[in-house]
Amino acid sequence: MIEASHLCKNYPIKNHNNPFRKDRQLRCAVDDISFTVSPGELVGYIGPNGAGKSTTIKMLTGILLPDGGMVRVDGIDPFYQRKQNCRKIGVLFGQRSQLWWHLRLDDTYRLLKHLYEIPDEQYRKRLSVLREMLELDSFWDQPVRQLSLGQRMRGELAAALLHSPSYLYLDEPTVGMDVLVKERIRELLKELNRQDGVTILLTTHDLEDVERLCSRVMVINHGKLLYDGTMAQLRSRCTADATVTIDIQGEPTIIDGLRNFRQKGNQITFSLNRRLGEGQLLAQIVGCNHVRDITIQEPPIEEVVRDLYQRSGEEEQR
Amino acid sequence: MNGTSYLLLAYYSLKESLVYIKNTMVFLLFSAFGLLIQYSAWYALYWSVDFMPVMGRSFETMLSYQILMVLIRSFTDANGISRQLEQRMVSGEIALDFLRPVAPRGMLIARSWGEKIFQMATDLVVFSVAVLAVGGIQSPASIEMMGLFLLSLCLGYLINLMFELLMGTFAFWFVGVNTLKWFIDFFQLAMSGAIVPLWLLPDWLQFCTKLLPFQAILYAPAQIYLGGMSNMEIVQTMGLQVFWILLLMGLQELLWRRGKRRIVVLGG
Ligand SMILES: Nc1ncnc2c1ncn2[C@@H]1O[C@H](COP(=O)(O)OP(=O)(O)OP(=O)(O)O)[C@@H](O)[C@H]1O
Ligand SMILES: [Mg+2]
Repeated sequence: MIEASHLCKNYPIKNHNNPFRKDRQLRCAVDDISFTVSPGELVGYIGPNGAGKSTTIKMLTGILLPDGGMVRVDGIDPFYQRKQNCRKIGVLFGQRSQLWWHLRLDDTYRLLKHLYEIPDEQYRKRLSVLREMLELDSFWDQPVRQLSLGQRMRGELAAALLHSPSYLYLDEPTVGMDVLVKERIRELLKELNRQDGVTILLTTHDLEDVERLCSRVMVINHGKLLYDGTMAQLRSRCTADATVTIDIQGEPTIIDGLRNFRQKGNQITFSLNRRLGEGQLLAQIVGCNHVRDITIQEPPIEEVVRDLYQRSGEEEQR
Repeated sequence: MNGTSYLLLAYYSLKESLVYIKNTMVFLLFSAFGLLIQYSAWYALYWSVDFMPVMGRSFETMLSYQILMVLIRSFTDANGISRQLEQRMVSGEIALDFLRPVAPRGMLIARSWGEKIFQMATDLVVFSVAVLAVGGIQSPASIEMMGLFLLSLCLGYLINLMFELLMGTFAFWFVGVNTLKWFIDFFQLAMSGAIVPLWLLPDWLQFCTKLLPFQAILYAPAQIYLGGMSNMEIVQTMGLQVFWILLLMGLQELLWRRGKRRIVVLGG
């Protein structure tokens, strides 16, 4: 179980170039964030650029010491009991390579085997599984410096998973991957989560990742946790409109108060917003027409999240 | 066992430095060239004026000292650990070191040994060629002396290692350790006996060098090898070496513990 309570992190920043001036300001990157992640969960951690996602991950993994609050992973403090924590976690930073630049992939893996003291048999099995799943064979013999971004990322992922961690922190794992590889990575993560019960926390800017993978999503902006819950609930809190399309038998009877109303023959389309209590309108129009077919298109997830980011931005300014 | 992972680390960094083998060839020439210049300079000094009484030691001893210094410098070199540490902190790679269930400093040292082995091999070539060229150098008075020399050489390496680690640790607080290190390197070159044997320095300067760790890195082993010390002095010198190791180690540990808490991993 990952527990974070009242986490805070301030970075000292200088907004001048004078190295002798002492005055420094603090930028609050993470501000009083609390959550728990139970074993076996797959959680998406999203937020706009500079929201504090990476900072949170760094504190959870024990690289960064929180300025306030505490982190416990299975009751262990990841900063003070670093080595104990390291054996249980796998970490991937999308922008940072842990592979040896001039060497081949398996050189790095062999080193990791010894660093984590993985038994021979287990290592062989694990490696062949990962090799197949991530399709590493086609570039197995090349030095890492010759790999493409997507290929390298697959290699990185294998490196993070080699010691069979029970917690996996992924900071933008799908960055630079093509559609097919992304799909494969998602499958892999799902399988790890379902079969091996690996707890996964991932940050991403690709909302499809979250939609396809995560049972739970946390949204952060300006260092504050805005939302923590299921994807469906997130949708329902959204102020963006849904689009309703109704096929009607005979001439449609129209009522007042429909927004963005359009009619094309027997088909009418209008916008609906649950938060404005417009569900009532739908009931009315269905009541006074002979309805053949009805489709309600929820706002796309991008819209939902954009809406949330924007509102939190406005609140910040006020 | 973790011993294997340290060996692998050293092996990989050796392999990676072999990629830059051409650079090393340049260093090899550089090192040989430096030795040649020194040889000519001392040769000129010895034979142009009646320099002998001032020098205190024979030309052969001086020559042995200079050639021996190639080996001693090579062995006690900590291979830019401070530079590496700073660079890892600035680039944020240090995060990866802290994510492994082993000691980050251990990994750092293991990595430096890969480069070290490579560099010692090239220096050994320079040394051997130089020895052959001048027809052999002085050897220590006895097998025991040789043993003491090797021991003091190892202690010298440890002092330098601790010093470099300490310097690197400052990078937790400010970036620019590398520049500072340049100044110190220059200072160190003069005060450690790397170029001019300390027995040639005026007394007050010799006294100053005694207060710094640098002479305990290079000069002390060289003196033991060349038989410039009584048994009593050897014991004192080694005691001093151990003192420096412990002092620097303690300081380093103290700073490291505090620095670790204020690490900011850049990027991401
Ligand atoms: N080392 C640092 N020194 C000063 N400020 C920093 C440092 N690292 C991050 N910040 C600031 O802290 C805030 C949070 O950064 P963080 O890297 O956690 O964002 P993020 O959510 O990961 O963003 P992105 O999606 O762009 O990766 C940003 O405003 C950033 O400018
Ligand atoms: Mg980030």
